[in-house]
Amino acid sequence: MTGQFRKLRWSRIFKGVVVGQLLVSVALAQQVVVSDKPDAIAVTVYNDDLALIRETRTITLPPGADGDGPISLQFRGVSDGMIAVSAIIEGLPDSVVERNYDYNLLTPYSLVTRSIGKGVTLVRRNPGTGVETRRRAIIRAAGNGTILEFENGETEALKCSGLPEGLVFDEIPTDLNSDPTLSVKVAPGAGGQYTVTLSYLAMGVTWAADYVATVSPMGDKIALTGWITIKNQNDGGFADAETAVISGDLNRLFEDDNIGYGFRSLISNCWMIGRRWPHAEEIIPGAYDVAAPAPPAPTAAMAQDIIVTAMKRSEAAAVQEEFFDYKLYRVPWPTTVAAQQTKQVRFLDKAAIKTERRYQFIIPDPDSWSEQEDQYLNAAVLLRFMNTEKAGIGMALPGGQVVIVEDRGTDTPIRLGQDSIINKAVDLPVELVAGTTPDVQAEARIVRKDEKYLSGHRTRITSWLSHRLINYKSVPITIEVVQFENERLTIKKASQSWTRRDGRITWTVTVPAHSEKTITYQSISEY
Amino acid sequence: MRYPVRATVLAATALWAFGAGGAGAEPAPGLSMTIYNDNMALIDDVRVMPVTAGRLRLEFKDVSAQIIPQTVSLTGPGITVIEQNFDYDLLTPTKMLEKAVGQTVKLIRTNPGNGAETTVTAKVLSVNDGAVLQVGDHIEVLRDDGLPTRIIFDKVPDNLRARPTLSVTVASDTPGSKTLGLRYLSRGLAWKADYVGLYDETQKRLNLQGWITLSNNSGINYQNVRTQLVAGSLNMGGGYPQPRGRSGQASGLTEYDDNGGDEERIGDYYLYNLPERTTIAHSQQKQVNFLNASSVAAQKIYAASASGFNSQQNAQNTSVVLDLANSKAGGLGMALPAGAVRLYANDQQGRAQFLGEDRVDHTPVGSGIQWTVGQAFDVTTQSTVVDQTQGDWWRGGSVKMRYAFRNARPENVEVVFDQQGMRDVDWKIAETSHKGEKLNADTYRWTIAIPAKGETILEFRVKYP
Repeated sequence: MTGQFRKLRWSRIFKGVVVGQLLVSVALAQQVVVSDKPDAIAVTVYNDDLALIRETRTITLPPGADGDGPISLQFRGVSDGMIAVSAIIEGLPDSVVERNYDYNLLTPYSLVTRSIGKGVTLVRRNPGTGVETRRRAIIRAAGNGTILEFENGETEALKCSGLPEGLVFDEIPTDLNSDPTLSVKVAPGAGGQYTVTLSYLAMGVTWAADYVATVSPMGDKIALTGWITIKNQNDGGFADAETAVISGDLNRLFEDDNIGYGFRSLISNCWMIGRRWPHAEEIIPGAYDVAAPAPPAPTAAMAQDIIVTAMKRSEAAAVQEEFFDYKLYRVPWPTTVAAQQTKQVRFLDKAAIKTERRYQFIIPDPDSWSEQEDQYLNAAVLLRFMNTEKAGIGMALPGGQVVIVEDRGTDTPIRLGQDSIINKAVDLPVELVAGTTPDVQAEARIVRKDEKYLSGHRTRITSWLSHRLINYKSVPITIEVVQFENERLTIKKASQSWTRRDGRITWTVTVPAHSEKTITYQSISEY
Repeated sequence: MRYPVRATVLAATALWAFGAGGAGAEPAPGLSMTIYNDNMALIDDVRVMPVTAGRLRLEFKDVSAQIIPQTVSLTGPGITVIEQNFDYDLLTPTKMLEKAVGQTVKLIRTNPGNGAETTVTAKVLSVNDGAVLQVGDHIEVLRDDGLPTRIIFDKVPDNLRARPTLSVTVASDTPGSKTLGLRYLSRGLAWKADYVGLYDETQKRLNLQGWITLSNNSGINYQNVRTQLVAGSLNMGGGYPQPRGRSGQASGLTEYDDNGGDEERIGDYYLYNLPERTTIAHSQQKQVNFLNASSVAAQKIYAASASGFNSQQNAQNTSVVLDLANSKAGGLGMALPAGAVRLYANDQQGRAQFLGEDRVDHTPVGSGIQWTVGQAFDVTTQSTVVDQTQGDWWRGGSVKMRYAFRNARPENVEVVFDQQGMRDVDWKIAETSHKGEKLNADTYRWTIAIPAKGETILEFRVKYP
């Protein structure tokens, strides 16, 4: 399949006069050539509910004679999430005259609004007798409620009576398609067979990274498995597609114009009906449905399912390539992403990453903490590793959810918790919070607080803090005490020295098994 | 034809010289339209219509639903306008019942048990959050009983229309076939530019195409229209124009000389003509190519900025910015109308992949352009407040900052870094590990080189004397 994809020759695509029309077709007598589906498809999925789709199609154009009108070439079955203004067509002969993106999908709304002024049959069923009556009518207005005029001049609104009623249409307006369709007008020429590439951006497809971190029985290593989770929320799928995903934050404008057209729903817009349905029919004229919201973040349950798969599977995974300032992961085999489907492919499998385990307490801002209130804290359990080859990893880590489990040497690992990471380049530290533990506790207190009034209406608040750190575990542990700070706070007279760790004031304290330590310091702030 | 869209420049005053002028030369029948960026169009509708002498009422169906009625003008030989009405009271079920207040309608009730239909006449008393009807000698709320009830109106009310209609009452001195010019401003028609750029990172070149995208949400189809586009923002009564500036983006990274373009900048707006008459249907977008620049010099820049003085727990990705000049020497050199740019680059298999998109401002020849593409995965910054004077450090004290710039890429990179959010106007940079420059009252800029797979630490103190 690969050979059929060709590099986009951009200079050729745009050469000459290309007048494109999007979203509507104008019915003209002309030859129509239909391409029902692509021969091959390539999909690149981005994090941000966005995909780049590249379709390869074989198209045979008939030879033309002098005086023939342009040929209408229809690409049927483009993705329903297509962003119209992004479409690029390449490989057609130079005689392309016009480009139309036709999104006049056949929907109840489009059928009724395009039948204004036309004859229809109103079908009603009497709810008591079951007798069906049929009556010819002309649609006088539609879109903000349908109004029918009968042959005797009487006028009624549709679906406002409470009776079962509906319309039967004589025909489908010719400009409505059952599939999203892109059409191109081509001037007649010699004809022949062309391989055409159609590229466009589409919404409704997204991906995220999901990780499973398995902590070794000794607690000094983790195994990290990473999965690419692709979600397709569109009604169209991509069969046997060459698939890649790109990790990185792209600048987006979010003003894409593809949504809305063709997706309006049919509304009755009846008069207010008594007190029973006070607001149900209060629909803003012209309002229409917008695109589906972004898919929810992967759940812990989903990631749990992966664990089982990860234990069993070992086949080749997606391969990372460098691309611009992003990371590209290519699925090495053609894959099908069906409509409304979630698909997962492994991209990372590291067995033994050297990991530090730390127990962390975050001490509140003493200036907004009463000295009468001692704080009893359970420690957060941190797993920290460097994203380096030396530590056993050294690969770009796209941001995503991480499920943390502990391997206790038995068949079933125990789930510790769930965290998320942001994009982590090589050489950056990675920190996972596995949860909290009652085995490591702190009693944090303000022993004394003093407010001193200075010249110039200023106040100095001095707090004497003392934190008792207790290790109930049977192994020695390392505790980190982080002082939450406001921008006026300074630390004085600490019982042991502190450092700034990732920007935060941090004491690192080693506490032996079944014992405790106490640290003391002053915090001084001026207001 | 390389540039199918002809760009000319229009003097601001000429734009609005419509109305009485041009009476001598009779315009050809047809539609022409001038579309502005701000969802606004001037529409010229020239029709040949038979008229009788004396007073008569002319109806123009198929005018835009978003017409601005006070801008309507109708001209024709021997025609005097007496009155004009724009009826946009559209035919909907609710409107139809509202118009029936005080009148009699027919109600057909269906007994859901046995299917028997009873017909009564009712007078509509009020339509306001539900309808109140007088049936015989009692008052009812319409369908309050939940029973199926049809309302039959005698006819479609005269003053409700399926489509917006403009009617003008005129006096004509002579009968016969006359060429009438109808002109009005309407909302719902807009245009913008869409650019597609393919960036070659190794050659530092950008292949840039520009497309004009027209959109029509006016409610009607415009068939066979001669179309002009005006670039530039007109004042539509919104007061003094706002400055352009964008926040959160490194701007003015490079200064460019004005290398001059083809356009004469004698007026305040640029005008583009579409080469042929065209049809712009409702809910349609139409694209016309207007720019093909195959080799525009474009540098990739890493940019970061800090607003205020904070410690960051996590390294933050820097922005990737494409920096280019709108100049002939740089391979471009034409006035760019505002819109959006979508950027692509080829991956290792030579396939174009999407990089990101950014807004494009109206860009005259000679200006520099910075387009933010996205965030660099491998080039990061992380800030730490090293120390600060006790109390209100921004009053006579100082704050010391440390920024760690990291680069996981295999080549050396440079990051343009702006410290902003200085807390006070009176500040000085001291003890800086790298040389920088003060850009303005709230910005100090450094250009930080980071070795391949390496780290550079920037430290400085901001002093408030």
